[in-house]
Amino acid sequence: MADTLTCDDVNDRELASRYVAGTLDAVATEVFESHFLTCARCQDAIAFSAAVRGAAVATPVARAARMPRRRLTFLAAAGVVFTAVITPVVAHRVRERHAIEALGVLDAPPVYGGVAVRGDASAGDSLFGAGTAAYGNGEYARAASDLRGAIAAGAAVPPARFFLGASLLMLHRPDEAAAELARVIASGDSPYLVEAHYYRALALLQLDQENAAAGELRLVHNGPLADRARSLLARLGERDR
Amino acid sequence: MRSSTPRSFTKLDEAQLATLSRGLRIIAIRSLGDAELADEVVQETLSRAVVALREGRLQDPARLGAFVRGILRHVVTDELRRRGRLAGIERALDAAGDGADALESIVRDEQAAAVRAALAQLPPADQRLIHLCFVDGRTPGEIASQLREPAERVRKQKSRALERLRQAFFGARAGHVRPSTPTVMDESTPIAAGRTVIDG
Repeated sequence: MADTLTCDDVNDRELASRYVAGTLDAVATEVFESHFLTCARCQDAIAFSAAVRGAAVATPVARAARMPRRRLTFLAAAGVVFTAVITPVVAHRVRERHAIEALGVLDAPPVYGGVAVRGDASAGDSLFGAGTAAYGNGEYARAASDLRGAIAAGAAVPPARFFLGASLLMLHRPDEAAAELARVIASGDSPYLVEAHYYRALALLQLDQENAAAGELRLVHNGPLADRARSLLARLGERDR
Repeated sequence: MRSSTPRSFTKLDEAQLATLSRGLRIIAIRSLGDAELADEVVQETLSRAVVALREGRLQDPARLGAFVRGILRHVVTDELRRRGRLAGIERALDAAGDGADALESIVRDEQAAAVRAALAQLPPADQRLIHLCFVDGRTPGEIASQLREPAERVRKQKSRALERLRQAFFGARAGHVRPSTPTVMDESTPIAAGRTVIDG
């Protein structure tokens, strides 16, 4: 999705109804929210969508909504046999995968609480500052680019790689995020170590790597994310029962 | 010819402030699932945004939305931490969650009732379609693909159904105006604001 939207884009892509239904991904949500914060027309569309959603949830006929049945033909009947035998197995696996991926969904990033570098900043520091500023503004693509530049220019690795990993996670690139966060972990003890385990676990969940994610979550012993890690482990444990 | 040096964007007029306030409230309610807390977060975000703008920290006016959204994210986290609501942080930092239902609070009661009544008058097939779009979040294209129907037919069906609901929604708004406290800027404090009513 482009960084900027027009109201026509919002209509064409059904963004208001999908936003209200909670089915937009993190990147689309960020772009849409950035747009409608200054757009009264799209705020109207959201209010309307919220009213329709509320009505649909409350309407008995709609609550039992199902796809209409199609007429069975011979081929369709053959399809039913196939469906009865094969599809449940496949569908179960797909549901399992989606459920695991859902556990790894991250709507908002870890917070950057650093301060601006004072005095003469190196090129790496400057790029790191630009990257974290973009990160703070929710501009994750720009943040990722600047933070890569910062690492190449010699900025301190754990923070730069950590926020690069977080940016990639927000950009729905879990494989790259997991790799960057693994590098933070490999660099040893740092203020980012525990959080890197946690957010790498989310990336791994999005990649359907449940066991590896559980391994990372078990390493989140302390800090503000420990409860969340335990909660996720419990939910993974429930799924195994 | 334009200067190559970007000029900072330093002020918001009342209309911009009102639009931002309403948009922030939508995001905050959706993130937090709590209208009262959302109002506090909106006020704090606007205060910080006005200060940041005065300091010339936004160079490109076209990025105002992204800029203020970034501030909101920090305020949400700060506020919940300050209150020791760790469970709240967990919820806020995850997907929309309960907030999708809480968004109903941005709709006036009479508008909600009008839309419910209009939806109940629609044929069952249209009701199902509306449910698939607005509760399940599916696009007409996805629905058409699953039903093996032409996408254009599903779009037209949705468009017709929505037109009826839209008339009910905006008709209800036209019939009643809720008094609201205007949002104002004051010299002595960054923001002295009443609640901006989201009236759809």
